[in-house]
Amino acid sequence: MKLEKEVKDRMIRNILLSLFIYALPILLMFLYFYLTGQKPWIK
Amino acid sequence: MIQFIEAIFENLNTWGFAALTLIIGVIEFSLGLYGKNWNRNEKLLDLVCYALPRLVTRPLVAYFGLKFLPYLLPHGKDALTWVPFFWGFVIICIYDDLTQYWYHRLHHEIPWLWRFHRTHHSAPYMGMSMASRQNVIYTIFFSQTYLTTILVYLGLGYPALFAKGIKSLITKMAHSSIKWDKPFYEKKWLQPIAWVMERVISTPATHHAHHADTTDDGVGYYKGNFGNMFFFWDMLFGTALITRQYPKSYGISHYEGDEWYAQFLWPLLKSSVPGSELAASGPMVRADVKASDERFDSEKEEPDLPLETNPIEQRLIT
Repeated sequence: MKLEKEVKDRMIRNILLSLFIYALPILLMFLYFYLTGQKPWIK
Repeated sequence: MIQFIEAIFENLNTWGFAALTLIIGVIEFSLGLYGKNWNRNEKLLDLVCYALPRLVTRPLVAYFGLKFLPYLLPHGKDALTWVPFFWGFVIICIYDDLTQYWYHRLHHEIPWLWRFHRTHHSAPYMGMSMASRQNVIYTIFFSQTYLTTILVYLGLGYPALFAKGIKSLITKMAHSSIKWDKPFYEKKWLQPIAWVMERVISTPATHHAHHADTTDDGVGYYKGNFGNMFFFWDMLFGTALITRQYPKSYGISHYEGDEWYAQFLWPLLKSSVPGSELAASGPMVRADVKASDERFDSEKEEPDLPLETNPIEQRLIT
């Protein structure tokens, strides 16, 4: 029993989007530190 | 005040949720919300699955966090304690729940994984009794548990305390047979809140649809609504169905009460029900039995198509 191409394609698209979502909070956090001049890791 | 809230979440995460599940379960049962479907076999399965995470999984995860991770990442302990609470909370919520979304979705969309998740869907009722009902393999490999344990080890334990507590509350209440979300759809002044709520978190309406024994009938939708804490993953990935209705019946249309031990320990133990997905020679995925098929059965006639060759109603999206 194989995956239908449509399901497989949607899954791949969604996984790529998920990788971006995993990175998003970290990117936003560092953008916030950059904008506010904070460097909490130095403390 | 903060200490009081901390204490609430600490207690919820240790013994509180187990007690809450039990209390709500008793209320559901007393209200007759399990119907006549909660027989001895289902009770035993639900009870074993309720006890397993507390007796086996938690010690396993504790071993992973206290022994394995220090060995694997000796310099990683508390390396991220500098992360502010807000960001730690956001990271835990997203990492934990998005990982569970995928773990759950893959068990529905990849045929060979389905049987490890089938036990959760075989319950012909909703409620606290079936909220923890899972095959042992599915429970042990609950991927987000290990990911969150790694994040806790790295120093995000404090935000994890709150994120895990809120998540448990939402997922349990989405499984409840008490339709607490109904007033939000009926009262006009609550409808703006309902609109936001049903798109953000799992509710009984959306999660019950996922547990329906039918799909694509306008209410049931086991092909989607995979979200646990957050429903917006389904919105984002196009796997959502919001109807504000509740299915007439739950479970798997062709379920014939596979033995509790087979459902719990498959593939170590097999079902004796002929044709079951959990039987020794059973199919990987069996097609749905439609209401019309049941009528054929009762009239001792054969349906036009053999059940397993009807691709439209395949249990999975295959």
